[in-house]
Amino acid sequence: MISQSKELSHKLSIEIKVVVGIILFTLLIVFVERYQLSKNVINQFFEAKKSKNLLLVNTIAPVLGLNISLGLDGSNRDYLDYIVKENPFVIRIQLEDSEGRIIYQNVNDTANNGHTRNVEDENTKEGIDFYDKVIIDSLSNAPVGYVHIDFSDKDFKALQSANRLLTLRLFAITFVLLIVFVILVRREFRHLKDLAQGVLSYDPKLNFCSLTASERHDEVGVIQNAVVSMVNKINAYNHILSEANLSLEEKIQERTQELLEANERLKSLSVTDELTQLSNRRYFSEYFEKTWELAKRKGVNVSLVLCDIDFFKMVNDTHGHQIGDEVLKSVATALKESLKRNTDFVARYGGEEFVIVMYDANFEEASLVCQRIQENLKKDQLVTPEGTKIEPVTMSFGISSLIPKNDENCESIIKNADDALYEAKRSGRNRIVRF
Amino acid sequence: MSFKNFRLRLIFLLTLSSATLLNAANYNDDLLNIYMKMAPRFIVMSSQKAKINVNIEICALYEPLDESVAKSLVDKIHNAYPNGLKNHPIKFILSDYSKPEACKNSQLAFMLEADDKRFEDALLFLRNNGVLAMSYDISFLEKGADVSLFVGRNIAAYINMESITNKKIVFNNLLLRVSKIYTKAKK
Repeated sequence: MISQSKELSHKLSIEIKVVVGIILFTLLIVFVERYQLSKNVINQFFEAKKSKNLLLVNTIAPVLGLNISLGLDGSNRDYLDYIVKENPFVIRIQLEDSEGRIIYQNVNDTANNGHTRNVEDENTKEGIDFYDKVIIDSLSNAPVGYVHIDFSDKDFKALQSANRLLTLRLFAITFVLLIVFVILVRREFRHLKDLAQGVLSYDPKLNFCSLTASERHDEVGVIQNAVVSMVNKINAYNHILSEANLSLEEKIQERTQELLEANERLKSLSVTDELTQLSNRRYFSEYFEKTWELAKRKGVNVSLVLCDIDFFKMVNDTHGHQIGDEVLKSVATALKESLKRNTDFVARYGGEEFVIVMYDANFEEASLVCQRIQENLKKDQLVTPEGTKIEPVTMSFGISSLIPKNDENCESIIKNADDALYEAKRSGRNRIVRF
Repeated sequence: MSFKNFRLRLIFLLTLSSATLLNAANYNDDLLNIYMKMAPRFIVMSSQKAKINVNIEICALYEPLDESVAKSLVDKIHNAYPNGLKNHPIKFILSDYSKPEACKNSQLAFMLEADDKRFEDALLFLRNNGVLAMSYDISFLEKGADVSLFVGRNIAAYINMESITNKKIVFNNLLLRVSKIYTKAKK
């Protein structure tokens, strides 16, 4: 229940809460005030009326008592007739002797008007509309009679009617004032709503805000000016941020480019032999596996050539490793220059050993490439730093060429090429052997 | 009109007519009762109260012809006040008009019918002694009686304000309220 009330309270707008609160509060105040005032007025009226009734009774009772004591009953009749005539609010007087016999009764028909005695209790002797009194002889203090007086309650009814009318008027005026109040409140809250719409329309991307500085000096104006000021500050900071972002993006692009280049270099380093700038063995394995699978799918020849520099150890031993490295570079250049097709691939297989992969090439075509390599090697003339000419190196070639079958793997052709190379070495070097 | 009222009026009319016919005083018993009720109260409710020593003393002045009437007053007043009034026993004195001195110490004298001369002499004596004079005949108010009863539509007590002022007698306000003030013009 409490949580539901809270939820409802959160759902209601402040405008509704304020209006409902003020209305309830006003009605409560008016109601309490009217209730209290009516109660006071009626109480005062009751007291005044009772006092007035008592005054009359206390005025006439001694006279009645004395007349009875003196035996002047007729005087009592005249006197009570006079009292009824002069007091229009008296509607009935009944005088009884000490034994309860009625000796006088006067009913004022004009004042009566359907009046009935409102006795709440059998023992009640007085009320707002009646009074019963024992008449005491002032000298002997003996009861000599009883007087019963009924008073008109017309004035009380008139008071109640006037009170009701006043209450109705008061509530009507309150109602009208509350309507005016609600209209004014709604009008003021409309400014707040407009302000909220203006705030909602703010688009920081476009730096657009429909709000402008307000000339109002009330709270709404203060808030609107504060919002406008805040939007201007946000716009200024956005501008600064945009410039900073632009600079940052340029830097990021620059750094990204550098990273890409570094990656390229790393990638290149990871697949390239540093000395010969040929692909390394790891990349060869990757490349050859793909080529093998492609040839298997296409059903074309793949030729694999393993070649090794003849007597390279002796070069190293004779001229040193630096010259050995130069020889390796020179051989790598010769190998690259000897391959004419884009699909031909050469890599350093290890030490002084190289491997050539030729897609869609048979043994003869591979053999021609090997011969061309041999020719190119002969042209290489290396000179040591000391000026000593170094004899061109030769190479032995082992060729394996075949169309791959589905159940074959690439390891077999490598082994075949290696066997052929071994055969070329064994049979005298500087030659081309087919497996 | 109540039966009692009607009866009183009838008796009064008969009394007046018979008195004229017989040329003699005739008294209404009910009126006498009322007078006897009133007398002690007029004493207690006036400055005459100060003159009360132990007894409320009332004196009745009568012509010899009315002696029996006068004597009947004793019973009437004792019937009305068997225990006296306000702890004062009531002493009732009967006296002939020729001996008004008997009323010297009384607070009130009830004056029955009398010829003018004797009435006026008695009245003079009462005035000189500050005794309240209550007359049976209302016409004696003109001669100087202080209090009497008028029988009209109702019975009403009349007070001769001029005479009680001369005697320096003061009545209780309530008593003045229930009584009517006699003036010569009124009569």
